[in-house]
Amino acid sequence: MPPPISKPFVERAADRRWSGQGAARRGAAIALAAAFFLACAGAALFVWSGVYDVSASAPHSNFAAWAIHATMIRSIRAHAASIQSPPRFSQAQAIRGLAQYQRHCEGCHGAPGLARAPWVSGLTPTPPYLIDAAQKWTPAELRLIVGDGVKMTAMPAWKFTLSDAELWDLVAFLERFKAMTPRRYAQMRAKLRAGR
Amino acid sequence: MAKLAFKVDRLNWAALAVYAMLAGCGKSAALSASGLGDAEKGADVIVRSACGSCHEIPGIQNADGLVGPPLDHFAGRAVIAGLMPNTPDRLVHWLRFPQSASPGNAMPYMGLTEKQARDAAAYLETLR
Repeated sequence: MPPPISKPFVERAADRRWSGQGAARRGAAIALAAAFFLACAGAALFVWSGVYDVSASAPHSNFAAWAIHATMIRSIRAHAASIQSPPRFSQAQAIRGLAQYQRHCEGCHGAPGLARAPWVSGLTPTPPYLIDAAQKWTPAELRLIVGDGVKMTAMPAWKFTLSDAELWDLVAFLERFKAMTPRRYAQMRAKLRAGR
Repeated sequence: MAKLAFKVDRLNWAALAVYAMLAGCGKSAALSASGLGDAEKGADVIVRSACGSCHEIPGIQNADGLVGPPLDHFAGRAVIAGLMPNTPDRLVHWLRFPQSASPGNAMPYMGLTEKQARDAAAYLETLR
């Protein structure tokens, strides 16, 4: 007896339908399809009902906070892989970066001994202080965050207003941020403000 | 397609389970508040003030900062900022005016009100 390869498809399907295994498989497929449909319907209802609170005055649920933050970290690690960072940064770059930081970043991110602008605590998620940013991120990752911003966090993509060199200056500054004492930062800040 | 649906469904359940666990953790910390202020409101003050970007703080979302010391077991710590005894009033004063208590340290004046500082202190005192 040759194997039933030559049997037409319809007949083979009919064979399966009558066997117990086929019926069980069909039941499982229907259950999965139903589960999928319910999940889609649930998601649509969730959006349509307006039940989710998007107000920034209500804190994120712990799950949402974790999911958003983890997604951001994983995305930045993955997307920064293609960015080539300079092997080292000069002191001059870091000083130019401090001027940029003071102008564009300090209000939302603060500095050693210097608080963020008061209204920033109203942002959800609220922007972090960055003194240890270089311990958490590589230069390439910092360049990506500063240049391209982060959706739904109020972090702008600075590459539309700053040049490539200016963005790297900022990274150079962040690389040396933790070496900066509050006193030194205050002195340099005062000098910059006076010079303007 | 059916396989994908199964995966999506399983993920949802996993997410729900994790959420339930996390929500549970947050509640238990808030309920064991001391008489200082409202620990649950204090947790919100701590999140909004971005304390977690400089400190590791148990029970606070994404509080993994490596600038200042970790604040776990805070209720059991003897000294604040290496300077003064850990008493409720000293803690509130430290949270409100870190620069007057220890001039030149990295912790900024954050403009907390007395009540906000009392609530934040109450949360810290739940960390045993």
